[in-house]
Amino acid sequence: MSFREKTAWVSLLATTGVWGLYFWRLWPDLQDRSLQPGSVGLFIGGVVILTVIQIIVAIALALASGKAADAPMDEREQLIDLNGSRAGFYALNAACFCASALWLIGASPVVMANAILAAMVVGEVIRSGFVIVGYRRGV
Amino acid sequence: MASPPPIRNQIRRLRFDHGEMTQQALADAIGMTRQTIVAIEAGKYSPSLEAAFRISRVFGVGVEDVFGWEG
Repeated sequence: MSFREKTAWVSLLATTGVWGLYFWRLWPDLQDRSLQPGSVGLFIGGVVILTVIQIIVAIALALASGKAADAPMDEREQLIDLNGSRAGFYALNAACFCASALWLIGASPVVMANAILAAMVVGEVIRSGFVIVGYRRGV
Repeated sequence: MASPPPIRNQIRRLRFDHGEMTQQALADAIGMTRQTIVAIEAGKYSPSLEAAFRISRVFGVGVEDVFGWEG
C-alpha cells in the first residue's frame, strides 16, 4: 500500500470516526430541537482531536515510508487525486444544497451550521473513498 | 469499476530481459512510483504518451515494442 493510499485511509477513518461520534452525541439534541450554542465546545473538541490524530499519524506514516513521503505525485496519483476531488466536490455541493434547504423548514442557525459541517464531512468521506477505490481498483 | 483498457504491455518480460530489473529501478528511471509500475504491468493503468516513451527509452526499444492495442 502506497504512502498516499495510507494517508487517504487515515483521512477516511479519522473523519468518519471523529465526526461520526460528534453527530452521534448531537443527534438527541437535534431530535428534541434543543440544540444549544454550547455544542460549539463539542465542535471545537472534534476539530482539535481530528487535527491531532491526522498530524500524529501523518508524521508516523512519513517516518515509516522514508523518501516516498517526500516524492511528488506521479501522473497516476495526480489522476486518482483529481478523480477523488471531483467526486468530493459534487458530493459537497449536493450536501450543501440539502443543508441549505433546512432553512425552508425554519432550522436554527446552529442546526444550519451543523448541517453544513455534515455536508463537508460527506464531501471529505466521498473524496477519500474515491481516492482509495482509485488506488485499489485502478483508474 | 472502469473496464481495463484493451492495451497490453511487455514490461514484465522487458524487465526480465534487462537483468531482472526491479519495478523500483524502472520507477526511479522514469520518475514514477513503484505502485504505478505495478498498476501499468497489471493493466490497471494506461500511462500517458510521455510516460510510455520514457519506459520504452529505458529498455532501448520502440513504444510499439512495449505497448500494443489488443482488440
